[in-house]
Amino acid sequence: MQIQQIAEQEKLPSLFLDSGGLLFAQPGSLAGQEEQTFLAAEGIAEAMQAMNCRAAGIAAHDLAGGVELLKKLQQESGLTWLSLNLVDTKSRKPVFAPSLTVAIAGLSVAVLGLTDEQAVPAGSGYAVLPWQEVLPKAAAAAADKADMIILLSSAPYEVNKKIAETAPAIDLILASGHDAAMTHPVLSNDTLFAQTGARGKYLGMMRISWTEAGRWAQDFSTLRAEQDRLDQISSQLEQAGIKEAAKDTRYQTLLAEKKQIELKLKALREQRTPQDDSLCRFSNQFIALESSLPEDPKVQEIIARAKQKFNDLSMKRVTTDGLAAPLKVLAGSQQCGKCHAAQEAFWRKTAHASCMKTLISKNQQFNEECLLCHVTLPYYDLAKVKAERLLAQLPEKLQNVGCESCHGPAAAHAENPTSARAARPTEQTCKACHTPEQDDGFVFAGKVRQVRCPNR
Amino acid sequence: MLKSLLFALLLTVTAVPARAADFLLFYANDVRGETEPCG
Repeated sequence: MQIQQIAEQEKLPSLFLDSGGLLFAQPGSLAGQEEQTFLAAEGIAEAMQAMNCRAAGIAAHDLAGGVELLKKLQQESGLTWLSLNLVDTKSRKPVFAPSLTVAIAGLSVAVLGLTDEQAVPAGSGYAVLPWQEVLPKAAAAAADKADMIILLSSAPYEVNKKIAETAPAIDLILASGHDAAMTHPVLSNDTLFAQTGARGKYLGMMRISWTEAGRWAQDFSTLRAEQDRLDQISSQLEQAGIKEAAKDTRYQTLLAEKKQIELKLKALREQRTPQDDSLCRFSNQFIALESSLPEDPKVQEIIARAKQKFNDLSMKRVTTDGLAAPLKVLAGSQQCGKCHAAQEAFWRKTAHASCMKTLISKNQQFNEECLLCHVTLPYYDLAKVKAERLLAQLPEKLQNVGCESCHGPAAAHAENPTSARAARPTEQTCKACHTPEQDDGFVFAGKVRQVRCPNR
Repeated sequence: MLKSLLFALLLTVTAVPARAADFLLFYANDVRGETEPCG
């Protein structure tokens, strides 16, 4: 990973922490997917350990496989999970280490873990204690020995704010869960809050200059954050380059946001005051983890091995019992091409036609979350598709984003072309898969031109 | 004596900046099982 390279370039010691939600895509149970999901989680935990992640917080997502599974993962990977308040219901004692002390740059940094109270279902033999019962005391004890205290919290933002008020000894709260929105550090009651975006797309990097004062100076990183966002939006608007901008909702939303940020930047620049050099300072940036950035070979090997194990197991489970009933409404693009040859020929040249190959090239063809949007299905509701096991028995003719992904199921139309017409796709059709999470640069009016079929 | 006094005054008047410990903190959250973002 790039962490080591960046630290070497900056000539500074570094500390890598994860505040939670590391392992599983959904909270709740892994029903039916335990073995496969465990393999993926094992790979991720091992990779984080290889990247020298010193500790991870425990959020609801991490407990989707149960507490025992997480304990097993900790034992096998060596990654340390922290929680002050995830306890055994009988002994009322923490199941995982409540905290960890890290020596860095001559400082003693205490890292505490706090789990969201909703993370564990009742009757599991485990419970999450209210933060008021454990955190203030733990923070006070840490303050006696540590120069700086960092809390890895999966509690909601409002709870974290109360924590900052009740336990001001906590200097930094790294949050996880809930909306998982990227948040440049915000100061509240002399506690800094920060969070990066979900799905591993961005890594937060904070340069901290810690002094004996133990208090933060005024925050100027907001100005940089707003400037970064402005640059991003300007780039997206430039790439869209569309003629019908007035009708495109996403384009208009970006334009409105740009104007707001420009006003905010002007106000921020007028607010700047001299800093007190004796106080602690920070600057923050988010590093986009693009696939073009060089990977650590050791981490690459760990992930590749995990994917292979996952795929080998998934291959054993692929059934060939005939087409599932929900899929019978689909004809396949080749069938469409019998009457719509020009349109099918055009489609074959688009990225949609080869998106299954893209998935295979990344060894993700059994990852159902990815697979959902790389195949043709009657609907794109992951939970429903999983429950009906549609992805495990998908024929080759549906293994791409075909005509019916945009125009809807067409088996009836193929039988009787005049009585059942294909639908015309809308912006919402595309956004079922081109979500902000998967494709945050997606502007409908610009992108649809690349895939819109020629008229008959 | 005067020299010592002047020297002592110089030490107290000269502002010594607070020593700071600098380090990089990398942080992640909500990876949610993602090994490679789609798209």
